[in-house]
Amino acid sequence: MHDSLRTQLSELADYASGSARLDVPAALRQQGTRRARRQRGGLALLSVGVAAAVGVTVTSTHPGAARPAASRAPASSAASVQLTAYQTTVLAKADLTKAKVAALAKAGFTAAQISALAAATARLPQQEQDALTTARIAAGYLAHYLTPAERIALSHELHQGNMAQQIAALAKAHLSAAQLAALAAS
Amino acid sequence: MPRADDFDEFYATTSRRLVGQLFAMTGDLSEAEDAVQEAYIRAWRRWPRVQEYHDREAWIRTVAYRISVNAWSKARNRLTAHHRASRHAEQPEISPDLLTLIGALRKIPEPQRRAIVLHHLVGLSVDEIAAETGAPSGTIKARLARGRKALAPLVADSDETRSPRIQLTEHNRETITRA
Repeated sequence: MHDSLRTQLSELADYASGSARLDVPAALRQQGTRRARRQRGGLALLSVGVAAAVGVTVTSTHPGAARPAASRAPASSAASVQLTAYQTTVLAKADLTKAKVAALAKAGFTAAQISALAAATARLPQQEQDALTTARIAAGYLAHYLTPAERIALSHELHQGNMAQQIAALAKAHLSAAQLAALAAS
Repeated sequence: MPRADDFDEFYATTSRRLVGQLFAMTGDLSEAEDAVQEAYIRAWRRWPRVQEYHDREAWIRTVAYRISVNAWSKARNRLTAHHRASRHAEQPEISPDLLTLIGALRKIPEPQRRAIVLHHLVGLSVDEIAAETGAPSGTIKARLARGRKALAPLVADSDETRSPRIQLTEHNRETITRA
């Protein structure tokens, strides 16, 4: 039985190895480099957003106060990634786990893109949030962030399961860019 | 700057073998190709570190496997697979024996299938599989035993019993290879 299984599995693997249509390594390297560049761009945007948010918070709570940036930044960052009870409940109701947000990030979407998607979804009326179409996504805010291929892939994913509701939940929870980034990285 | 020639050589020597292993785990050639290639893209992004790993091939296999079982990635892969379907139209026809084996492998749970492939195809020991999958050795032994038991009626020792038991239509073949 063991030898037979080994032989048959080897035949199966040989068939696949022989039939596989694989890209040349240079194409994969290019794709990896391009993706890394795009992610760096997203992270830079995210840093600007977080810095701006920190600035706004400090200015509005302490008008006229001029505290050194270095002393206030760490405390604000740590607090801003903590989910509130409301946010946790909204995400849990949509069955949106940290792993799923991380999966979204791993699928090639940057925190800025996820954030933009949530923002675009939030602008739609509730009944339309569950029926996002390629056209809406293409016409929306995401057009600035996603390539045509990514938009197609995303719209395809939206129709696969309850992802539209999950993204709507992301919007409803009003997660900050820092919270999204923290979830995606966890 | 990471060394491109090292990566290219590693890719050239291991990619097809890994596609074969992933195909045995997933039963879907397009998905295996996409998952393996995606794993190499991720490897390139952290190549200076991956290059130093004791078993780079195992790293790629593990990443590719995770990609293939990730539901959201699957959705994306299906789209890619759809675009590539026409290219696979001219691939060599798969034998009925292998189709039977793919069908049998799909009937057993994913963890058992992975253990069976890692042990009987890749040639890893129980402890090595435990290290690669993160499951205890006892669990791996149980998965292997259960998987073999489930496959036993379909994987016989003699060539005689390996002859096709069922007549497959063109539609059957297409469904099994593309699902």
